[in-house]
Amino acid sequence: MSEIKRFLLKRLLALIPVLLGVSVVTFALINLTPGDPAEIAIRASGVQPTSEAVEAMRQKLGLEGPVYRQYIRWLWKVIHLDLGQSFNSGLPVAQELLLRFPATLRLALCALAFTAVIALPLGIFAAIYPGSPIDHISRVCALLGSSMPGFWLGLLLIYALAVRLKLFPVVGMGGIKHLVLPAFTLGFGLAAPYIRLLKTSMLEVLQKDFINTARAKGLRERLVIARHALKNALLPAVTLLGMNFGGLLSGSFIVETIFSWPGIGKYAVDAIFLKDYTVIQGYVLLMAVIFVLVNLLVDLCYVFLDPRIRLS
Amino acid sequence: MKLIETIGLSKCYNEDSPASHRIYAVSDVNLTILKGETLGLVGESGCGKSTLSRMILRLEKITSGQVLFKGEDITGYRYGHMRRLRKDIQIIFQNSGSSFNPHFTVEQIITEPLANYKKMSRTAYREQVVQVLEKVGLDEEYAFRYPSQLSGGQRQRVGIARALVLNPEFVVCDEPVSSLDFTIRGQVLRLLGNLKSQLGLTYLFISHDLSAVKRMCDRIAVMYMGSIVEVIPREAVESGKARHPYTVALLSAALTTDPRKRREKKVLLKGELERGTASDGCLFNNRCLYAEPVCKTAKPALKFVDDHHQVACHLFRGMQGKGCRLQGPDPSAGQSA
Repeated sequence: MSEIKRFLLKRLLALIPVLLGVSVVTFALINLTPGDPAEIAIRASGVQPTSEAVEAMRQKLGLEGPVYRQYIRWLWKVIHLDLGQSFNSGLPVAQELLLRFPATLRLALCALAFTAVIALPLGIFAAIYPGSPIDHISRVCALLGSSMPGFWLGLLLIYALAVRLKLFPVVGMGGIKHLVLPAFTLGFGLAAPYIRLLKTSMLEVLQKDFINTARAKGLRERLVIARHALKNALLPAVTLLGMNFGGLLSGSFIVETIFSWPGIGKYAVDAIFLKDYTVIQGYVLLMAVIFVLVNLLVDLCYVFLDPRIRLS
Repeated sequence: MKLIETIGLSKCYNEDSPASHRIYAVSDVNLTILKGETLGLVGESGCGKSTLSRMILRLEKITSGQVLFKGEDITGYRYGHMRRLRKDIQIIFQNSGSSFNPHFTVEQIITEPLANYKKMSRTAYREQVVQVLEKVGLDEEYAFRYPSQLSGGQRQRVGIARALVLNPEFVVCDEPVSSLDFTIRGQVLRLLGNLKSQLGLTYLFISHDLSAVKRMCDRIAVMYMGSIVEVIPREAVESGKARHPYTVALLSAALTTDPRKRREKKVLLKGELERGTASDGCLFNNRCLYAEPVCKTAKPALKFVDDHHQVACHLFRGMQGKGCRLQGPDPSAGQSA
């Protein structure tokens, strides 16, 4: 167990340079894009900006002085767990992000559930019965899922199921019914790579010698598939899952925007339009932490799933 | 008593092709394995040894022919029906590195076939595992390891333990020592020999290591391009009574530690192995140094030389072994020419 502790500690320490790097790059990129946030903030309040007003606003937002000073000031606050206030709303960024994160998390988990329900049976049965109808269905689904952009599928679903058939609400967040369309839109697109991955890895595992061994043991075919083939075939999917789950947690800009889902993806998009520096910085920092943690989780999963992998 | 019998067993991988293009991995094999004996199966890589053994175990689809187990035709048995027989028919796989599920500990590997046939308490399973591990010379502590944490020789022992835990009657040893280094080979072969006499097993012993086969087997079946060309008792091999030119060539290719014998080596084959050439004649005719016109036109049948010795060759005419004009590498065989 101490092995695991040491591993965790090492990985968490590695988080520090990652976060520093990510924040430096975002800070630089934001400052390289045109547009003055102080000016935008004044315009947003409906006042014609004068140079004195802009200067005053800069002071207020902490944007005076050279960029590296601004960065250090920002970093100093972050070390004290203060992500600053939103230029736009004046509320603390951390609070705003935390407020929106549950919505994104709920959508992400639901989308993953859809992905699993679609991809697992299609991928597995397509490999067990190649050339069968289910194999063809899986191929069509994989093709559609990867070639249909989310915004298009989302709009189609809204039109067909919400507007015409009135089965689901059009947009917004509420009960379970509100969740179905955006989660399916996300989940269906996500399922495509998993269908293909599961099918190929299943086909590969079924060729392995130990499947022959399992059959020679006289196991029922069902057990051969479930106990010996599937468990091994799921490993590559876990890797992909780690990457996708990180992405899902950072919020889907497009789907959240289309369905007016009040998650952090939509919040980040709005912040980018308003050049809300502190929000963008805070968001990117949160995403970096989430990605690193999810990947850490996946690595830990590996150790439990595959005894050949040792922590090192 | 005949434990296993195959009648005209054939395997074709491109069944859908027109008859002239079909390639047979195994063609028309008639083989009998008696209870309690060890039948060796030798031949070059790719000659169909493993395919034949897998067909006997029904792990490979049979194109045509029959497999009889204790006189019972098991060719048409469905998966579920075959399942009940599997505890009597086991296999030790060639590559112990890949023939175990990497997620299973040794204990799970050995318990799984047991649990498949007998319901017992956990401790009873554990006892059986420890017992069988002891039989193959592994300590109890190995039960908790994963295959990747074992050496090649240890893994092969686990493979043997796994095959024997159900007390089978018939075990196919598919090149059980070919993946092991030389020092371990002897140990594992000795182990297999001991277990056979202890448990009264019958082996089909597949190998291309002739010294191992000579050591282990009562009779040896020689395979060439999917056909059995000779079935020969071990004593006949040792006294240089191999009849088929291919067998003679194969035996002469075996390494020997005697330098005098080493000098006598000569080339007994010409050309290279050509696959996919369907011919009406003897499959070996294009490489045989003694080929006659008849060899190109007619396929020789497997004929009895004496009670336990069969050979498929046109050149062998006399029933007393005097008609054979072949020169063997062994001087004593040469005298009979």
